[in-house]
Order: sequence, then C-alpha cells, then structure tokens
Amino acid sequence: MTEEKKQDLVEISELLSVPHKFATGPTMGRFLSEIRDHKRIVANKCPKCGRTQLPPRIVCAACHVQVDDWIELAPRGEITSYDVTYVPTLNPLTGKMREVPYTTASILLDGGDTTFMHFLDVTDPKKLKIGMRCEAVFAPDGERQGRVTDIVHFHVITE
Amino acid sequence: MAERVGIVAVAQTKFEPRKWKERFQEMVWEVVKDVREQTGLGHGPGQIDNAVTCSDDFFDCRTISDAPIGDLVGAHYGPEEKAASDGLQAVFYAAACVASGHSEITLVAGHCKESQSDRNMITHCAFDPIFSRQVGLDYLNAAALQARMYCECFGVKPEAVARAVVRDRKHGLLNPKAQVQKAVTIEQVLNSPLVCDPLREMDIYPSSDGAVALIVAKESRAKKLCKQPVWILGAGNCYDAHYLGDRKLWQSASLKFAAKRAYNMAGIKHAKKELDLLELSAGYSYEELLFLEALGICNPGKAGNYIMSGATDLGGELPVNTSGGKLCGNPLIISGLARAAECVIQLRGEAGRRQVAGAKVALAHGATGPAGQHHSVMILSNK
Repeated sequence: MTEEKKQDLVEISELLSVPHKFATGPTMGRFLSEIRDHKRIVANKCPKCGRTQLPPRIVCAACHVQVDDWIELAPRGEITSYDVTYVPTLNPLTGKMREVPYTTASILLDGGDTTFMHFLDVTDPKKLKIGMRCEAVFAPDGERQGRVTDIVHFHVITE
Repeated sequence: MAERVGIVAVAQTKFEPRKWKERFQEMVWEVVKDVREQTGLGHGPGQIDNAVTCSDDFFDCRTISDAPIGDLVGAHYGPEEKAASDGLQAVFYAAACVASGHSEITLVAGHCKESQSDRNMITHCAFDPIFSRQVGLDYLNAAALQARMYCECFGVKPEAVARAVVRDRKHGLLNPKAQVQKAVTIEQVLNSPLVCDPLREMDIYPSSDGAVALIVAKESRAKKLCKQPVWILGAGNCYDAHYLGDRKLWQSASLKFAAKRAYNMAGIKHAKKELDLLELSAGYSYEELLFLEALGICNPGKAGNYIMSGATDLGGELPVNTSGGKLCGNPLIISGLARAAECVIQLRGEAGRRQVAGAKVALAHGATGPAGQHHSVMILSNK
C-alpha cells in the first residue's frame, strides 16, 4: 500500500438503532403468557421421543415431528453450569451498560430435559457449585409483561 | 471420476487489533491482488470464473455484506456467493463449485473488521431475541458456561488449559502475520484479569481485523498454476442445537460428526497417526482441549495431559496451531479460512521458522456460533 496522506484518512461514527417488533407466535407465546399470567414455566413434549423442549418449539429437532403436547416444569431445579461476568458490556435491549458482576447460569428445571439460561442472585463464584439448587423469583403480579425477564432471576436455595 | 480440487494460492493480511487506515475493501484488495499475482490470473472465462466470499452483515453494518466487495472479487457481471458462517465453509463451497463442474477456478475471499463494532453486542445478536437475548447471552458468556462444564466434568486443571495458550503464543512468535507476538507463561495466563469467570483475559482471543484469500482450481488447471497445489482430500460440517440448553456442553457432538465425514471422505482411519499437523479455530483456551477430543486425537478429558506433555508443540508428535491460532488474533468469521491458509503454507514447505518437517497431511478446522455450535473440518494434503 502506498503511503497515505494523513488528511485522506477520515473516520465516520454511526450509532445504528433499528426498532424491531417480534411476534412470538402461539408456541413461544404460550410459554411467555404462562409466566405472565400464572407464574408457571411450561415446556412442550415430543410425542415420539418424549423429550421436553424449553423453550417450547414447533417441532422436535431430533425426531422431525410437530410437537403439540405441553408439560409444566417445576420453577426450581439444578445448576448445571454458571459464569460470572466482571467486564461490563452494553445491553442492546436498554442501551445502558450492564451492572457487573452478574451471574449467568444453566439450570435444569425439575421434570425438564433441556436447560434454562438465566441470572442467579449469587455473584461470588466461590459460593457457587455445579449441582446446587435454585428457584425462580417472579416479578410481582401486575408487573409481568410476558417476557423471560418476568423471572427476575433464580435464587440459590438449600433444600 | 471427477478431477481433484486443489488450492493453488493463499494470502492473508497481517492481523491487527484495529486497521484504522483501511476500509474492509482495502483489506480484501490486498489479499485478492496477492493471489492474483501469485497465479497470474485475472477474472473471466478461462481465468477466475467464480467467487465465494465470507463476511458478516452485523460486523459490516449492512445487509448482504458481500455486495460492496463484488468489484474486488470479479463479481461485477460475474458469479459470487457468500458463506455467512465460518470461512472454512467458503472453501468448502468453492471446492463444491469446482468439483461439480460449475467452475474451473474459484476465488475465496473472507474479511472481518471486528474493530468496526463491539464484538459482544454483535455475538449477542446471534441469540434468540425473545428467549436468550433477554438474559444477556453472548459468545463470551456461552463459552464461559461451556468452559466450566467441560473442566468440571473431567476434572481438567486450569494449568492444562493455560498450557494451550502458552503453546499458541509461542507459535505466534514465529508467524509474522500473527497479531499477538508475545510469549506468556502458565502463571501469567492464570493471573490475567477475570473477564467472565472462569475465563480470563488471556483465555480469550483478542479483537482483530484482517482478510484472507485463496484460489481453488480443478486438478488439470491447478498443476499449471503453481508448483505445489494442496489437495482437498475431504471435508465435513455439522450443526449442533440452536438453543444452548439443548446441548451437552462438556462435549462437541457436532465436531465429532463433522470430523467423521471429513475423515471418511479423505480415507483417514487413524487421525492421530495420519495427520501431521492441525489448525484449530479455538477462540477460547479450553476449546483447544475440547476440540482435540472431538476430533478423536485424545479421549474425552485427556487432551489437557496431551498438551501438557508438549506433544502439540512445534517439534512434538502432532503440532497444533503453528500459526499461533485464533488465540493470537484473527477475526471471528474468517478463522477457518486463516487455518486453511496456514495448512497450505505448511504443506508447501513455506512456513519458515515454524515449518513442520515433512508435513504431508493437515487438518483445518472452522467453528461458528456460540460455544462451537457449527463445525467445519477439512483434510488437506500435498500428495
């Protein structure tokens, strides 16, 4: 590359903010409305292999058949992995930096086959272990909007 | 029988944290010009008659990110298609174009300027907006969950994971195109700042800008275009589940399947004995172990010991990432392309101080998606 003239190098900044509106459809919609209206976590169950899918999906990925059976899972389960984020990143949903540290966990709800990723209320990794139990903490009645974040976080419990 | 398909030229930019003097088009031109000069080829019938590119709409901040480089790859009134996953898939598509007779000579060009945006925000957008984005998942988070699950499942020691970083950094010192040129010790890796526990700064590939190009040709043309074509003996790819919670994160079922397809096609029966070197797209330290196991080089949970023994160092039994790997820095989406380029350089005996003596068969690996969701494997040889 030839030696560039400094005045020829221009830098342009842009903040692209594109509004989106996502239809949930009836499958994901049922999952979200059960949380909003009844504080219930539901999955659907493959009629062929019996595997439950969380979030519920239109077909079973393994059997390639449509899934119409529903099952309620316990709002508590086992932590199968977790991480603690220390370096703040921008939350694209709010445009604000996330508060750190925060803990993300993979949670196998009782009665389920696939894990749920959500926040945990314990942020010291020394106080956490794979296999610990946790329970969903729902937003108060009247404040739930049909979002995964209607579960505020999972609370680590001792049973 | 269809003619074999060979790679006849490769070029890569130096990988850098921020190429502020160049637009991505200039990065692409640097490598396309290079492979054209190596082969004396132009574009059009009888010359480069097809192009497959690789880039990312979100990093380039436009839909159809290949459109603005069409003129640079001969796609102005010419055919071009984009691979929107790892760059090794672009090589796979190019090889398929040539093997099918659609093209005689195909140009592959991949670029990515991670510095144009924020990697965590971009990879966040790979997740389901309704279910997973709401709880803040991005590739780093997914990798940290997988790292913990893998290490706990097999009792893998942090030192063994750090040793993979030490190896890649050592190799990177010998590669003038590598971004990070600094050796580290196991202690330095283990004492680098925690970013997303259990992952530390040195466990994570640095943000990177760069481009890679190569030319793929059918056998009869390939032999006239360069002294030593590198033949594509086999390729395979496989997806794992979209939702992270469906996956058994302590293993890599999809890489195992992709490898099996590639090995079968190439006639490889004992990968560990028959391969002379491997180039892995591990963006996070622990993946260096996990991927070796999925490729059948080590039993589950045993790759750490193998790496600790020095077997994967240059001069060892089976060198891994002589280029310095992705951990020494190259952009997310073109990692597999950079891996293939290194394999070609090695198999042509042009790797200089990092040359694997007598290398005949190499494995290039590419990965896309959170926690290594999609994998591509390619077996390359100079015989």
